[in-house]
Amino acid sequence: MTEAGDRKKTVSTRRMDLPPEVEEVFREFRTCEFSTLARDGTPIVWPTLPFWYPDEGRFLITTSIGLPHKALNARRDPRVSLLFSDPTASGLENPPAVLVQGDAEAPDRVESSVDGFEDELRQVLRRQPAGGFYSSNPLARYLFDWYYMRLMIHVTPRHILWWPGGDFERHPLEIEVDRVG
Amino acid sequence: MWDEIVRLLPDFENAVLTGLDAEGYPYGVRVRPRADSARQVLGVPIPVHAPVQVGPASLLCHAHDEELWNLRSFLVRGVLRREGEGWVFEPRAFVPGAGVGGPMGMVRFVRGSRQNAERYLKKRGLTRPSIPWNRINEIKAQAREGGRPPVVPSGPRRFDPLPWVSALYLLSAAVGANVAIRENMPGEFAGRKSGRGASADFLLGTGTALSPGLAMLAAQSVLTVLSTRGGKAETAGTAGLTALGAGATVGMLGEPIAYRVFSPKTFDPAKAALVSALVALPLLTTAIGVRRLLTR
Repeated sequence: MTEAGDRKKTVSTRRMDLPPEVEEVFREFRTCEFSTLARDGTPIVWPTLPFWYPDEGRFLITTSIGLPHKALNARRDPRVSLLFSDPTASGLENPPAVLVQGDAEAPDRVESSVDGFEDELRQVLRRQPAGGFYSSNPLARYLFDWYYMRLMIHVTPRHILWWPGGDFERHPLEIEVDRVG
Repeated sequence: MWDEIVRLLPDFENAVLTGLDAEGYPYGVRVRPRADSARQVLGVPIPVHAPVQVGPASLLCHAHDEELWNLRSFLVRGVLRREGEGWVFEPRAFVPGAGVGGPMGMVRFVRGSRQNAERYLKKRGLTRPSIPWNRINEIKAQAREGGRPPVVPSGPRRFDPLPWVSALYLLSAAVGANVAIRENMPGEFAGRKSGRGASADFLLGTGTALSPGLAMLAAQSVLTVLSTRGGKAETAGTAGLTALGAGATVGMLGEPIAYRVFSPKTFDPAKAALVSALVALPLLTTAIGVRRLLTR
Protein backbone atom coordinates (compact mmCIF):
# COMPACT_ATOMS: atom_id res chain seq x y z
CA MET A 1 0.00 0.00 0.00
CA THR A 2 1.64 3.16 -1.16
CA GLU A 3 0.28 6.62 -1.65
CA ALA A 4 0.58 6.75 -5.43
CA GLY A 5 -0.71 4.25 -8.04
CA ASP A 6 -0.98 1.26 -5.69
CA ARG A 7 -3.27 2.90 -3.19
CA LYS A 8 -5.85 0.15 -3.10
CA LYS A 9 -5.59 -3.33 -1.70
CA THR A 10 -8.43 -5.84 -1.67
CA VAL A 11 -8.96 -8.00 1.38
CA SER A 12 -11.76 -10.28 2.42
CA THR A 13 -13.99 -9.74 5.42
CA ARG A 14 -13.93 -12.01 8.46
CA ARG A 15 -10.38 -11.73 9.82
CA MET A 16 -8.98 -8.72 7.99
CA ASP A 17 -5.32 -8.03 7.49
CA LEU A 18 -5.36 -4.44 8.54
CA PRO A 19 -2.29 -2.30 9.06
CA PRO A 20 -1.51 -2.36 12.81
CA GLU A 21 -1.86 1.42 13.12
CA VAL A 22 -5.40 1.22 11.73
CA GLU A 23 -6.39 -1.69 13.96
CA GLU A 24 -4.96 0.24 16.93
CA VAL A 25 -7.21 3.20 16.08
CA PHE A 26 -10.25 0.88 16.00
CA ARG A 27 -9.28 -0.50 19.43
CA GLU A 28 -8.15 2.62 21.25
CA PHE A 29 -10.12 5.62 19.98
CA ARG A 30 -12.89 6.49 22.44
CA THR A 31 -15.33 7.73 19.82
CA CYS A 32 -15.91 7.80 16.11
CA GLU A 33 -18.16 10.13 14.15
CA PHE A 34 -20.94 7.83 12.94
CA SER A 35 -22.93 8.95 9.88
CA THR A 36 -26.29 7.69 8.75
CA LEU A 37 -28.50 9.13 6.04
CA ALA A 38 -31.68 11.01 6.87
CA ARG A 39 -34.78 10.62 4.73
CA ASP A 40 -33.76 13.65 2.60
CA GLY A 41 -30.26 12.21 2.11
CA THR A 42 -28.47 14.51 4.57
CA PRO A 43 -25.70 12.69 6.44
CA ILE A 44 -26.53 12.86 10.15
CA VAL A 45 -23.35 12.58 12.19
CA TRP A 46 -22.91 12.13 15.93
CA PRO A 47 -19.99 11.00 18.08
CA THR A 48 -20.50 7.36 19.05
CA LEU A 49 -18.67 4.58 20.90
CA PRO A 50 -17.75 1.88 18.40
CA PHE A 51 -16.80 -1.75 19.10
CA TRP A 52 -14.55 -3.50 16.60
CA TYR A 53 -14.70 -7.30 16.29
CA PRO A 54 -11.64 -8.32 14.23
CA ASP A 55 -12.72 -11.96 13.99
CA GLU A 56 -16.04 -10.98 12.45
CA GLY A 57 -14.56 -8.13 10.44
CA ARG A 58 -17.33 -5.76 11.48
CA PHE A 59 -18.24 -3.04 13.95
CA LEU A 60 -21.02 -2.81 16.46
CA ILE A 61 -22.62 0.53 17.28
CA THR A 62 -25.40 0.63 19.83
CA THR A 63 -27.94 3.34 20.38
CA SER A 64 -30.69 3.81 22.90
CA ILE A 65 -34.34 3.69 21.88
CA GLY A 66 -34.44 7.17 23.42
CA LEU A 67 -32.21 8.27 20.53
CA PRO A 68 -33.28 5.82 17.82
CA HIS A 69 -32.63 7.85 14.65
CA LYS A 70 -29.29 6.21 13.88
CA ALA A 71 -30.97 2.81 13.77
CA LEU A 72 -34.07 4.04 11.91
CA ASN A 73 -31.90 5.76 9.29
CA ALA A 74 -29.69 2.67 8.87
CA ARG A 75 -32.74 0.44 8.37
CA ARG A 76 -34.03 2.74 5.62
CA ASP A 77 -30.62 3.25 3.95
CA PRO A 78 -27.77 0.97 5.06
CA ARG A 79 -25.01 3.22 3.67
CA VAL A 80 -23.10 4.54 6.71
CA SER A 81 -19.62 5.67 7.69
CA LEU A 82 -17.45 5.79 10.76
CA LEU A 83 -14.75 8.46 10.90
CA PHE A 84 -12.06 8.03 13.55
CA SER A 85 -10.60 11.52 13.76
CA ASP A 86 -10.53 12.49 17.46
CA PRO A 87 -7.67 10.75 19.31
CA THR A 88 -8.45 12.39 22.69
CA ALA A 89 -7.68 9.93 25.54
CA SER A 90 -6.63 7.14 23.15
CA GLY A 91 -3.05 7.30 24.36
CA LEU A 92 -1.85 6.96 20.74
CA GLU A 93 0.98 9.13 19.46
CA ASN A 94 0.21 10.76 16.14
CA PRO A 95 -2.35 8.17 15.00
CA PRO A 96 -3.89 8.13 11.54
CA ALA A 97 -7.42 9.33 10.93
CA VAL A 98 -9.50 6.47 9.54
CA LEU A 99 -12.72 6.54 7.53
CA VAL A 100 -14.76 3.35 7.27
CA GLN A 101 -17.59 3.31 4.76
CA GLY A 102 -19.83 0.32 5.08
CA ASP A 103 -23.22 -1.29 5.12
CA ALA A 104 -25.30 -1.44 8.26
CA GLU A 105 -27.76 -3.99 9.59
CA ALA A 106 -30.02 -2.73 12.34
CA PRO A 107 -32.59 -5.31 13.43
CA ASP A 108 -35.72 -4.03 15.15
CA ARG A 109 -35.02 -5.68 18.47
CA VAL A 110 -34.67 -3.91 21.81
CA GLU A 111 -31.86 -5.29 23.98
CA SER A 112 -32.10 -4.59 27.70
CA SER A 113 -30.10 -7.56 28.98
CA VAL A 114 -26.33 -7.18 29.37
CA ASP A 115 -25.69 -10.93 28.99
CA GLY A 116 -23.02 -11.48 26.38
CA PHE A 117 -22.23 -7.78 26.44
CA GLU A 118 -20.36 -7.66 29.73
CA ASP A 119 -16.91 -6.98 28.24
CA GLU A 120 -18.19 -4.09 26.17
CA LEU A 121 -20.04 -2.54 29.13
CA ARG A 122 -16.96 -2.97 31.35
CA GLN A 123 -14.86 -1.22 28.74
CA VAL A 124 -17.33 1.66 28.44
CA LEU A 125 -17.46 2.14 32.22
CA ARG A 126 -13.65 2.05 32.46
CA ARG A 127 -13.26 4.59 29.72
CA GLN A 128 -16.20 6.73 30.87
CA PRO A 129 -16.38 6.29 34.67
CA ALA A 130 -18.92 9.09 35.10
CA GLY A 131 -21.33 7.09 32.91
CA GLY A 132 -21.88 4.88 35.96
CA PHE A 133 -24.10 7.67 37.26
CA TYR A 134 -27.05 6.36 35.22
CA SER A 135 -27.35 3.29 37.47
CA SER A 136 -26.18 4.90 40.71
CA ASN A 137 -29.43 5.73 42.57
CA PRO A 138 -33.19 5.25 42.21
CA LEU A 139 -33.78 8.71 40.74
CA ALA A 140 -31.04 8.27 38.11
CA ARG A 141 -32.34 4.78 37.32
CA TYR A 142 -35.86 6.17 36.81
CA LEU A 143 -34.70 9.09 34.65
CA PHE A 144 -32.19 7.14 32.55
CA ASP A 145 -33.61 3.62 32.19
CA TRP A 146 -34.04 4.31 28.45
CA TYR A 147 -30.26 4.55 28.18
CA TYR A 148 -30.02 0.79 28.77
CA MET A 149 -32.70 -0.12 26.20
CA ARG A 150 -30.44 -0.55 23.20
CA LEU A 151 -30.68 -1.14 19.49
CA MET A 152 -27.74 -2.87 17.77
CA ILE A 153 -26.25 -1.66 14.50
CA HIS A 154 -23.67 -3.93 12.84
CA VAL A 155 -21.49 -2.31 10.21
CA THR A 156 -19.59 -4.34 7.62
CA PRO A 157 -16.80 -2.25 6.05
CA ARG A 158 -16.73 -1.71 2.32
CA HIS A 159 -13.92 0.82 2.03
CA ILE A 160 -11.36 1.70 4.68
CA LEU A 161 -9.34 4.86 4.07
CA TRP A 162 -6.73 6.36 6.34
CA TRP A 163 -4.64 9.49 6.54
CA PRO A 164 -1.26 8.95 8.22
CA GLY A 165 -0.78 11.39 11.08
CA GLY A 166 -4.39 12.51 10.72
CA ASP A 167 -3.34 14.82 7.89
CA PHE A 168 -6.41 15.18 5.69
CA GLU A 169 -4.48 17.24 3.14
CA ARG A 170 -2.61 14.09 2.11
CA HIS A 171 -4.07 11.51 -0.23
CA PRO A 172 -5.57 8.74 1.93
CA LEU A 173 -4.39 5.16 1.78
CA GLU A 174 -7.20 2.76 1.08
CA ILE A 175 -8.38 -0.80 1.47
CA GLU A 176 -11.32 -1.97 -0.56
CA VAL A 177 -13.00 -4.85 1.17
CA ASP A 178 -13.94 -7.85 -0.94
CA ARG A 179 -17.14 -8.92 0.73
CA VAL A 180 -17.44 -12.06 -1.36
CA GLY A 181 -14.21 -13.52 0.00
CA MET B 1 -29.46 29.60 13.84
CA TRP B 2 -26.55 31.58 12.37
CA ASP B 3 -25.92 33.37 15.69
CA GLU B 4 -25.73 30.01 17.50
CA ILE B 5 -23.28 28.66 14.94
CA VAL B 6 -20.88 31.61 15.08
CA ARG B 7 -21.14 31.72 18.89
CA LEU B 8 -20.18 28.06 19.33
CA LEU B 9 -17.83 27.46 16.41
CA PRO B 10 -14.76 29.17 17.96
CA ASP B 11 -14.95 26.75 20.93
CA PHE B 12 -13.84 23.93 18.64
CA GLU B 13 -10.47 23.55 16.96
CA ASN B 14 -12.04 22.09 13.83
CA ALA B 15 -15.18 20.33 12.62
CA VAL B 16 -16.18 17.16 10.80
CA LEU B 17 -17.64 17.99 7.41
CA THR B 18 -19.57 15.07 5.94
CA GLY B 19 -20.91 14.96 2.43
CA LEU B 20 -21.74 12.09 0.08
CA ASP B 21 -19.40 10.39 -2.39
CA ALA B 22 -20.41 9.27 -5.89
CA GLU B 23 -21.83 5.99 -4.53
CA GLY B 24 -23.95 7.84 -1.99
CA TYR B 25 -21.90 6.82 1.06
CA PRO B 26 -21.13 9.42 3.72
CA TYR B 27 -17.57 10.75 3.40
CA GLY B 28 -16.23 12.83 6.29
CA VAL B 29 -13.09 14.93 6.72
CA ARG B 30 -11.89 17.36 9.35
CA VAL B 31 -11.89 20.99 8.24
CA ARG B 32 -11.58 24.45 9.76
CA PRO B 33 -14.71 26.29 8.64
CA ARG B 34 -14.57 30.04 8.04
CA ALA B 35 -17.72 31.98 8.81
CA ASP B 36 -18.92 34.51 6.22
CA SER B 37 -21.45 36.42 8.32
CA ALA B 38 -22.49 38.72 5.48
CA ARG B 39 -23.78 35.76 3.46
CA GLN B 40 -24.38 33.44 6.42
CA VAL B 41 -22.38 30.60 4.89
CA LEU B 42 -19.26 28.72 5.95
CA GLY B 43 -16.22 28.39 3.72
CA VAL B 44 -15.01 24.78 4.07
CA PRO B 45 -11.53 23.91 2.76
CA ILE B 46 -12.28 20.36 1.63
CA PRO B 47 -9.10 18.60 0.47
CA VAL B 48 -8.91 18.32 -3.34
CA HIS B 49 -8.78 14.52 -3.30
CA ALA B 50 -12.02 14.12 -1.27
CA PRO B 51 -14.73 12.74 -3.61
CA VAL B 52 -17.61 14.60 -1.94
CA GLN B 53 -20.42 15.76 -4.18
CA VAL B 54 -22.43 18.95 -4.31
CA GLY B 55 -25.60 18.43 -2.25
CA PRO B 56 -26.69 17.49 1.27
CA ALA B 57 -24.01 17.65 3.95
CA SER B 58 -23.54 18.31 7.63
CA LEU B 59 -21.02 19.82 9.96
CA LEU B 60 -20.36 18.30 13.38
CA CYS B 61 -18.38 19.92 16.19
CA HIS B 62 -17.72 17.76 19.23
CA ALA B 63 -15.32 17.37 22.13
CA HIS B 64 -14.86 15.25 25.25
CA ASP B 65 -12.28 15.12 27.99
CA GLU B 66 -9.78 12.40 28.91
CA GLU B 67 -12.48 10.46 30.74
CA LEU B 68 -14.99 10.67 27.92
CA TRP B 69 -17.06 13.21 29.82
CA ASN B 70 -17.82 16.92 29.68
CA LEU B 71 -19.26 16.15 26.28
CA ARG B 72 -20.01 19.07 23.97
CA SER B 73 -21.44 18.80 20.50
CA PHE B 74 -23.66 20.34 17.90
CA LEU B 75 -24.58 19.46 14.34
CA VAL B 76 -25.49 21.72 11.46
CA ARG B 77 -27.45 20.24 8.59
CA GLY B 78 -27.02 21.96 5.27
CA VAL B 79 -25.96 21.89 1.66
CA LEU B 80 -22.52 21.87 0.02
CA ARG B 81 -21.97 24.10 -2.98
CA ARG B 82 -19.02 24.67 -5.29
CA GLU B 83 -17.81 28.26 -5.41
CA GLY B 84 -14.94 28.78 -7.83
CA GLU B 85 -12.19 26.40 -6.81
CA GLY B 86 -13.51 26.07 -3.29
CA TRP B 87 -16.50 24.86 -1.32
CA VAL B 88 -19.20 26.60 0.64
CA PHE B 89 -21.47 25.04 3.25
CA GLU B 90 -24.92 26.60 3.53
CA PRO B 91 -26.45 25.90 6.96
CA ARG B 92 -30.12 24.89 6.97
CA ALA B 93 -30.74 23.63 10.53
CA PHE B 94 -28.92 23.76 13.86
CA VAL B 95 -29.18 20.64 16.05
CA PRO B 96 -27.85 21.06 19.59
CA GLY B 97 -26.06 18.06 21.03
CA ALA B 98 -24.61 17.41 24.50
CA GLY B 99 -23.49 20.22 26.76
CA VAL B 100 -24.38 23.25 24.62
CA GLY B 101 -27.91 23.98 25.86
CA GLY B 102 -27.19 24.64 29.56
CA PRO B 103 -29.22 23.05 32.40
CA MET B 104 -32.52 23.56 30.53
CA GLY B 105 -31.06 21.83 27.49
CA MET B 106 -30.18 18.88 29.72
CA VAL B 107 -33.74 18.74 31.07
CA ARG B 108 -35.13 18.84 27.50
CA PHE B 109 -32.72 16.09 26.46
CA VAL B 110 -33.74 13.73 29.27
CA ARG B 111 -37.46 14.42 28.81
CA GLY B 112 -37.23 14.05 25.02
CA SER B 113 -35.29 10.78 25.26
CA ARG B 114 -37.82 9.33 27.70
CA GLN B 115 -40.66 10.30 25.36
CA ASN B 116 -38.84 8.82 22.33
CA ALA B 117 -38.34 5.55 24.22
CA GLU B 118 -41.99 5.46 25.23
CA ARG B 119 -43.06 6.08 21.62
CA TYR B 120 -40.69 3.42 20.26
CA LEU B 121 -42.09 0.77 22.58
CA LYS B 122 -45.72 1.80 22.12
CA LYS B 123 -45.51 1.70 18.33
CA ARG B 124 -44.34 -1.92 18.52
CA GLY B 125 -46.73 -2.96 21.26
CA LEU B 126 -43.86 -3.64 23.66
CA THR B 127 -43.93 -3.17 27.42
CA ARG B 128 -41.14 -1.20 29.08
CA PRO B 129 -38.40 -3.80 29.68
CA SER B 130 -36.89 -4.12 33.13
CA ILE B 131 -33.22 -3.23 33.39
CA PRO B 132 -30.84 -5.59 35.25
CA TRP B 133 -29.50 -2.83 37.52
CA ASN B 134 -27.79 -5.23 39.93
CA ARG B 135 -25.83 -6.89 37.14
CA ILE B 136 -24.93 -3.48 35.68
CA ASN B 137 -23.71 -2.29 39.08
CA GLU B 138 -21.62 -5.46 39.49
CA ILE B 139 -19.96 -4.76 36.14
CA LYS B 140 -19.50 -1.14 37.19
CA ALA B 141 -17.71 -2.30 40.35
CA GLN B 142 -15.49 -4.62 38.29
CA ALA B 143 -14.66 -1.75 35.94
CA ARG B 144 -13.72 0.38 38.93
CA GLU B 145 -11.56 -2.37 40.45
CA GLY B 146 -9.85 -2.92 37.11
CA GLY B 147 -8.71 0.68 37.29
CA ARG B 148 -9.00 3.29 34.68
CA PRO B 149 -6.98 2.84 31.53
CA PRO B 150 -3.91 5.05 31.31
CA VAL B 151 -4.63 8.15 29.36
CA VAL B 152 -2.20 10.45 27.67
CA PRO B 153 -3.26 14.02 27.12
CA SER B 154 -3.51 14.49 23.37
CA GLY B 155 -4.34 18.15 23.19
CA PRO B 156 -4.37 21.35 25.18
CA ARG B 157 -6.34 20.96 28.42
CA ARG B 158 -9.58 22.91 28.49
CA PHE B 159 -9.37 26.01 30.67
CA ASP B 160 -11.04 25.29 33.99
CA PRO B 161 -12.24 28.58 35.55
CA LEU B 162 -13.41 27.18 38.92
CA PRO B 163 -10.09 27.13 40.84
CA TRP B 164 -9.07 30.49 39.38
CA VAL B 165 -12.32 32.22 40.35
CA SER B 166 -12.10 30.66 43.79
CA ALA B 167 -8.47 31.77 44.18
CA LEU B 168 -9.43 35.31 43.13
CA TYR B 169 -12.14 35.30 45.76
CA LEU B 170 -9.69 34.13 48.43
CA LEU B 171 -7.39 37.01 47.47
CA SER B 172 -10.24 39.53 47.63
CA ALA B 173 -11.40 38.14 50.97
CA ALA B 174 -7.85 38.44 52.35
CA VAL B 175 -7.78 42.09 51.29
CA GLY B 176 -11.25 42.56 52.84
CA ALA B 177 -10.13 40.99 56.14
CA ASN B 178 -7.07 43.23 56.19
CA VAL B 179 -9.13 46.40 55.63
CA ALA B 180 -11.78 45.33 58.17
CA ILE B 181 -9.22 44.56 60.88
CA ARG B 182 -7.30 47.79 60.22
CA GLU B 183 -10.46 49.90 60.44
CA ASN B 184 -12.08 47.67 63.09
CA MET B 185 -15.16 46.69 61.15
CA PRO B 186 -16.54 43.54 62.84
CA GLY B 187 -19.22 41.39 61.24
CA GLU B 188 -22.74 42.87 61.31
CA PHE B 189 -24.71 40.24 59.39
CA ALA B 190 -28.38 41.33 59.27
CA GLY B 191 -27.54 43.99 61.86
CA ARG B 192 -26.34 41.47 64.46
CA LYS B 193 -22.92 42.01 66.05
CA SER B 194 -20.85 39.51 68.02
CA GLY B 195 -19.66 42.21 70.39
CA ARG B 196 -16.03 41.37 69.65
CA GLY B 197 -13.56 43.28 67.56
CA ALA B 198 -12.95 42.67 63.86
CA SER B 199 -9.75 40.79 64.57
CA ALA B 200 -11.50 38.28 66.87
CA ASP B 201 -14.40 37.96 64.41
CA PHE B 202 -11.94 37.03 61.68
CA LEU B 203 -9.78 34.63 63.70
CA LEU B 204 -12.47 32.95 65.82
CA GLY B 205 -15.87 33.91 64.43
CA THR B 206 -17.88 33.83 61.23
CA GLY B 207 -16.08 36.83 59.75
CA THR B 208 -15.69 40.56 59.52
CA ALA B 209 -17.80 43.10 57.65
CA LEU B 210 -15.63 42.49 54.57
CA SER B 211 -14.64 38.82 54.75
CA PRO B 212 -15.62 35.41 56.02
CA GLY B 213 -13.77 33.96 58.99
CA LEU B 214 -10.36 32.33 58.77
CA ALA B 215 -11.83 28.80 59.12
CA MET B 216 -14.04 29.27 56.08
CA LEU B 217 -11.18 30.68 54.01
CA ALA B 218 -9.00 27.72 55.04
CA ALA B 219 -11.77 25.29 54.06
CA GLN B 220 -12.19 27.05 50.72
CA SER B 221 -8.43 26.79 50.07
CA VAL B 222 -8.54 23.02 50.62
CA LEU B 223 -11.67 22.61 48.45
CA THR B 224 -10.06 24.67 45.67
CA VAL B 225 -7.13 22.25 45.54
CA LEU B 226 -9.49 19.25 45.64
CA SER B 227 -11.53 20.66 42.74
CA THR B 228 -8.47 20.37 40.48
CA ARG B 229 -8.04 16.64 41.17
CA GLY B 230 -9.93 13.90 39.38
CA GLY B 231 -12.70 11.55 40.55
CA LYS B 232 -14.41 11.83 43.93
CA ALA B 233 -12.01 14.50 45.24
CA GLU B 234 -12.97 16.75 42.34
CA THR B 235 -16.68 16.17 42.96
CA ALA B 236 -16.30 16.86 46.68
CA GLY B 237 -14.21 19.99 46.00
CA THR B 238 -16.71 21.28 43.45
CA ALA B 239 -19.71 20.60 45.68
CA GLY B 240 -17.99 22.28 48.65
CA LEU B 241 -17.03 25.37 46.64
CA THR B 242 -20.58 25.58 45.26
CA ALA B 243 -22.01 25.62 48.78
CA LEU B 244 -19.38 28.00 50.19
CA GLY B 245 -19.86 30.34 47.21
CA ALA B 246 -23.59 30.55 47.91
CA GLY B 247 -22.93 31.10 51.63
CA ALA B 248 -20.34 33.83 50.99
CA THR B 249 -22.67 35.66 48.59
CA VAL B 250 -25.49 35.68 51.12
CA GLY B 251 -23.01 36.61 53.88
CA MET B 252 -21.73 39.65 51.99
CA LEU B 253 -25.20 40.79 50.93
CA GLY B 254 -26.28 40.56 54.58
CA GLU B 255 -23.64 43.06 55.71
CA PRO B 256 -24.89 46.69 55.95
CA ILE B 257 -21.58 47.93 54.52
CA ALA B 258 -22.47 46.28 51.21
CA TYR B 259 -25.12 49.00 50.76
CA ARG B 260 -23.40 51.82 52.66
CA VAL B 261 -20.44 51.98 50.27
CA PHE B 262 -22.77 52.46 47.30
CA SER B 263 -24.95 55.10 48.94
CA PRO B 264 -24.42 58.61 47.38
CA LYS B 265 -23.80 60.11 50.83
CA THR B 266 -21.25 57.56 51.98
CA PHE B 267 -19.94 56.36 48.62
CA ASP B 268 -16.48 54.80 48.93
CA PRO B 269 -15.14 53.72 45.50
CA ALA B 270 -12.36 51.46 46.84
CA LYS B 271 -14.65 49.58 49.22
CA ALA B 272 -17.42 49.50 46.60
CA ALA B 273 -15.04 47.72 44.22
CA LEU B 274 -14.06 45.31 46.99
CA VAL B 275 -17.68 44.57 47.92
CA SER B 276 -18.51 44.02 44.23
CA ALA B 277 -15.75 41.43 44.00
CA LEU B 278 -16.86 39.80 47.27
CA VAL B 279 -20.38 39.36 45.85
CA ALA B 280 -19.63 38.56 42.21
CA LEU B 281 -16.78 36.08 42.69
CA PRO B 282 -18.54 33.66 45.07
CA LEU B 283 -21.70 33.92 42.97
CA LEU B 284 -19.65 32.98 39.91
CA THR B 285 -18.03 30.13 41.87
CA THR B 286 -21.49 28.73 42.64
CA ALA B 287 -22.69 29.09 39.05
CA ILE B 288 -19.60 27.31 37.65
CA GLY B 289 -19.86 24.65 40.36
CA VAL B 290 -23.53 23.91 39.63
CA ARG B 291 -22.82 23.67 35.90
CA ARG B 292 -19.89 21.32 36.48
CA LEU B 293 -21.91 19.07 38.81
CA LEU B 294 -24.82 18.90 36.36
CA THR B 295 -22.62 17.99 33.39
CA ARG B 296 -20.44 15.40 35.18
